Amino acid sequence: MDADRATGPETASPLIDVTGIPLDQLLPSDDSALAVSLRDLVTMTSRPQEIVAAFGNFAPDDPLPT
Amino acid sequence: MIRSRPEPTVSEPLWPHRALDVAELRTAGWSPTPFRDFVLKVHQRCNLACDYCYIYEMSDQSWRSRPAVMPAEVVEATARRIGEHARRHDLDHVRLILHGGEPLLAGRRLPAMVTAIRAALPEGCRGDVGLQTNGVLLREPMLDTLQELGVAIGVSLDGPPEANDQHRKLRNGRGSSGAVHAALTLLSRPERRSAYAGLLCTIDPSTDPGTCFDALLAYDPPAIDFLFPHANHATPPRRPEPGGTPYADWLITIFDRWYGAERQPARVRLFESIISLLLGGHSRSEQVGLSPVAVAVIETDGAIEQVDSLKSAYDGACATGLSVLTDPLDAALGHPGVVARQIGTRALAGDCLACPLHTVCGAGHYAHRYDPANGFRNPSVYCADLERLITHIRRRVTSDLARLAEDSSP
Repeated sequence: MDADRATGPETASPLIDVTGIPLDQLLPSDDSALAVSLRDLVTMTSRPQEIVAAFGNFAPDDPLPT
Repeated sequence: MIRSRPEPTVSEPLWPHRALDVAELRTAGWSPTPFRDFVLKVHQRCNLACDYCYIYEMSDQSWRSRPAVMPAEVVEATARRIGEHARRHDLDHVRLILHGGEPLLAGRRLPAMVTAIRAALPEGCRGDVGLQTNGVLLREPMLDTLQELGVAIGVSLDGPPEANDQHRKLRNGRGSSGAVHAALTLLSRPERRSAYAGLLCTIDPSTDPGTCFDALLAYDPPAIDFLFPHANHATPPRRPEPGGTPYADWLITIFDRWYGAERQPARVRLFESIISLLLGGHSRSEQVGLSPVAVAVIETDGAIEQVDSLKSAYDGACATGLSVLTDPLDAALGHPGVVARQIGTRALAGDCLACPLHTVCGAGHYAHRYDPANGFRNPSVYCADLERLITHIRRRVTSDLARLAEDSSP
């Protein structure tokens, strides 16, 4: 964790470069947090609906827009 | 004809109330995002006395002058206004969140409220209903009723009894964990899965994060969200060591457990939103990112308000001056406080814009940016914690993606 404190926001953009990464192959059928996040990202980008921030004082029951 | 909101008062902060030019934004082509979440304050009182409660224990005290229960005429007007809003904006989905105080104090009135509001929605518009409770009154008969109505229930729990009961106390001073345990034991049964939304947990860095996470997971929640305790630049969070980041440190311990698990044990909105933002996606959390906030709160007297956590900032911070009894919900879409939460980077302070992480942290929760000197255009009072947490998550995800890419290359 000390590495986090030492470097801080070290890049001009915080976005992780996924250029060239074959997302379809990297969407494993496992249920790890990363796999779920990648699947969500693909779903999110394929839907036209605007993503809004949910009311924070209610438990998160709606992981994906419908 | 939409009545414009009353003139701002001198007690309102410089930004956004007096400095954000909504008319200019509209002229430049900006248009508001319609409300999608409607938070109904069905009961104004609570059967707990939590020491950190933003409704009763912080700056705003408006609950004192409001009806305890939402009266029938306010329910009727709320239903009409939500239906009107959904129709006007052609919404195919809205979310109604029964909230308080403690919404279960409304008891047998809840089904009629839900039915009335759903009935007012236009054809083709689905009304999902949620309820956030402290769990104390959640017994089998009420659970049956709520499940039959299709209500998803969220419960607030701050970890194991010794941690939860430090803050979440019954009115007699005893801890609430025993009663909540009984409720969550019912709710976590497989046959109740459709009625279980998840858990909300407020961070307390003085507790053990791993033990807290285990205590939450013991109730098999579909989802969890961890909330930064409400604080601002006038009332900063507790930091035992100056310059320390105890909130990030606490979250990082849980993140590493959650992220490193072979199978994700529960969804965690804050972590998922940060990963999504780092990958170029969007956030569904109010606590990070720049997704528009499309939430309207309806109080028991019919007042249309901004998100209730702003009550932690100053007395009257949520007010718009509008009411469902006299005004359409569209009128609130022009309120500077609502607009400020829908305009992305245009709402951020110069210091935030100069930081490369601003598209991910989004300056944090709006309430945590408040400074009495100038309002809400400031970095979060949790800025250092957010930077540390995001940087940590970025490092973990970057490393794993690189490894996955390498493994998948021929």
